[in-house]
Order: sequence, then structure tokens, then C-alpha cells
Amino acid sequence: MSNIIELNNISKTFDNQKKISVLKNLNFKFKKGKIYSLSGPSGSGKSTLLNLLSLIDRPSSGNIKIDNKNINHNEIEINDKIRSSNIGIVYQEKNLLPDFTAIENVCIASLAANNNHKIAELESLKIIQKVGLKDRANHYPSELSGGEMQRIAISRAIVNKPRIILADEPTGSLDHDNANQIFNLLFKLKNNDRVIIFATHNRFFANKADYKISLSNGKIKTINGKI
Amino acid sequence: MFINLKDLQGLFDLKKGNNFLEVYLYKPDKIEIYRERLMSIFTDEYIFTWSDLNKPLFSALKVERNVMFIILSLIIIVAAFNIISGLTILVKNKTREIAILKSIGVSNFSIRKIFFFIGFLIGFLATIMGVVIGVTFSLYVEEIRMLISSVFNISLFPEEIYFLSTIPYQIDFWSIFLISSCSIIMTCLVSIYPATKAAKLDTIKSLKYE
Ligand SMILES: Nc1ncnc2c1ncn2[C@@H]1O[C@H](COP(=O)(O)OP(=O)(O)OP(=O)(O)O)[C@@H](O)[C@H]1O
Ligand SMILES: [Mg+2]
Repeated sequence: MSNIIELNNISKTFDNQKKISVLKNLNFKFKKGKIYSLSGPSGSGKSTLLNLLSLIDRPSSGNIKIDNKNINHNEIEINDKIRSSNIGIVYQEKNLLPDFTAIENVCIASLAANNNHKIAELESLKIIQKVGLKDRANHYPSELSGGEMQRIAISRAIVNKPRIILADEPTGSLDHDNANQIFNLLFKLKNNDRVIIFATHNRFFANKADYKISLSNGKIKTINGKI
Repeated sequence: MFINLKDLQGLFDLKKGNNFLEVYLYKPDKIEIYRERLMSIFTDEYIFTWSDLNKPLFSALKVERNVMFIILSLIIIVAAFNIISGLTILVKNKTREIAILKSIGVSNFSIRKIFFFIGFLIGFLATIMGVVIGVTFSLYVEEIRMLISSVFNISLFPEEIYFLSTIPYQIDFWSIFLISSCSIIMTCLVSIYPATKAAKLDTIKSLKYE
């Protein structure tokens, strides 16, 4: 089986004063070793879908399978565990804890996955070195540029070698050069056992993915494959 | 000097049955034990202790003690609410951070532990500080009294009213222990609510709006 995430009849509605149907009966299979881009107009449900995939939010109906195992959204503890060791998440901004240094931010993710202190520190340093920020490891987020913060956020997302990497407009607040750098970094993380899914408004980067998913009106409109 | 009771009565021309015998004890606080003993010796005499003779004073002191207890309990309750509100504000300020922790898979239980531990730390440090200040105050209470009296030119703890030239104090380790454990347990109990609230925050909303 090469499917890593399976969406079966996923719907998401928000029940406030008005019922808003954001996702409607989505069926989709994400394959290992591929990079997916999510695009679509603002409000089309990209962030909502990513929050479902990261198991932070729960669907209104339908079920999600990860590695062919059904996810039970009531087993919060198990899902937290899955998230800490198998899912790395990068948001648009303010990804980092402001009271901790860059390396500590990365370390925390490693500790959350039950690694011991020594291993966590070693791994974190290795990864920060890989994203080219070794000499900034002991700086606080407020002392880093936006691009550097995102590189640290990516470091944190990958420190546990997750098999699922989710990014919600990771370059939304960066200029083109910095965005380029971040996406190069992201694309380099591709491997045979891993899926990378990112949402972006930027068509240039969306086109670089292996598959382009376009959301509109709660449905997946088109899926374009490079291959 | 010992003298036969009969001779003494003859000497001072006292009638029988008009005698008082005063007994002074080295340990006045053990009065009840000695009273029993004296009662078994002088089976048909009346025995009054110092606490019987000063009943109004002692009941006044008792009332004062109870009122003091109530006032201090109220202070503790106010302090507990301060801890609740302080922690609740902290949780509110750290919404984004809590959401970040959740997004990296930190369990709700761990998040609860974090805020519970902060509450415990506040309680623990405050208790230690309280004990240190309290004991120091007791030890130097006389100096402090004199200082305040001379600075504000008032007479604190006047001897005429209290019959005592200095403020008495007693450092009782058992009470210190009891009060300290009570206050630490209290802060722990009070921390549970904000800690649980932190763990129950809606991650999605916090990610969006903070
Ligand atoms: N908690 C909520 N309550 C009500 N409606 C919500 C809630 N969260 C999201 N929505 C609605 O769901 C829709 C999809 O939101 P979402 O954030 O997923 O869009 P998006 O595709 O990520 O947009 P953008 O590109 O602007 O980030 C929006 O119309 C929004 O109004
Ligand atoms: Mg979005």
C-alpha cells in the first residue's frame, strides 16, 4: 500500500449562527513519497483541511485513515502521540515559542515525542545546522528574521522524522527570495516514506508540487499531477 | 520552714475552716494535671486555678483567637482567588503558546502539568517566604514594637492593659508545618481549575486569533 492518508467522505461544517459547510464529502488518498499542494480561493477550506489532517480538528462526518488505521477523534491522547511522532506542522507565522531559543524550540518537539534530553539536543543541533542556522541556535525568535523563524519552524517540524509534513502558507509573510529558500528546503525533505502537503496562494510554488489539489466550494475541483 | 497547721492557727488566732493555701507551680500550663492531684489530696476543699479566677480574660482571649482565625482564613481565601485569577490571566496570555504545544503533539495532561506546576511553585515559594518572614518577625517582635512605637510615637501593646512588659511569642514547629502544608495544598487545589482550563482551550481558535 502506498497510501499514507485516506479521507473517506469527509465533511466539515461550522455551526455558528449560520451553518457553514466548508468541506463536503471529500474523498482522497495521499500517497507516500509525494508532495501535494493545496490551492484555492481564500475561504475555500485549505486551512480547515490541514487542521483535519493534523488531527487538531475533527471532521463533522466521515473518517480519516492514517497508515490504514482509522482515526478515532475521541482518543485525544493517542492522536496527540501520533501528531508528536508522525506529523510535522508549519504555519504561516508565530510558529515558535517566544520565551525559548531556536534550539530549545526544536528540542521541545523532540522531547514531546519522548526522546531523552541528550538525544533531543543532539538531533536539534544537527537539524538546525542543516537549515544553515547553526550560529543562530541560541537566539530567541524575536532576534531572528521571518525567514529564519520559518527555517527553525521547519526544523522543529522535522526533528522527529515525521512521515507527514503539513505546511499552511509557510511563506505567506515572506518575500520571494526567502519563500524560494523555504520551499527549496521543504522540497528537499521529500523521501519515499513521507508525504508533504502544503497550502499556498502562490501559483509558482503550487506548480512545483507532484500533485496540485485545487479546492473550491467545499470540493476538490482538480487534481493535476506532474507525473 | 515547716510548721504544724494547728500551731500556725494558734499563733495568728485564726479560726478553723478559714484557711487558704496558695500553690505556685513551676509549670503553670500543666495546671489541670496538678489540680487533679491536689484534689485527691484535699478531698473536701475547694480548689481554684488561675484560669478559673481569670475567666473573663481567658474567654476574651479565646474570642480574640477565634476572630483572628476567621480573619486569617479570609485572607487566605482572598490570596487563593488571587492565584486563580493570576493563573487564568497567564493561561489567557499563553493561548498561542499552548496551541503551539498542542500542534507539536504535547498531550493535554502535560499542558495541565505545566500550569499546575506554576501554581504549586507560587504556593511553595510564597509559603517559604511566609515562614521566613513570620519566624523573623516573631524573633524580633520586641525590637519591631519599639521601633514602631518610637517612629509613630504611640504606645503599642501597653503594659497596663496586657500585664506584660514584652509581646510574648512562641515558635511552634508543628503549627508551622501544619500551616505550611495547608497553604501548599490550598494553592495546589486552586491551581487545578486554571490548569484544566489551559488543557481544554480550543486549539483551532487559538491558532487563528492569537
Ligand atoms: N471556527 C469557525 N467558525 C465558523 N466558520 C469558520 C470557522 N473556521 C473557519 N470557518 C470558515 O470556513 C471557511 C474556510 O476557512 P479556511 O481558514 O479553511 O480557509 P482557507 O482556504 O484557509 O483560506 P485562506 O486562504 O484565506 O487561509 C471560511 O469561509 C471560514 O469563514
Ligand atoms: Mg488558511
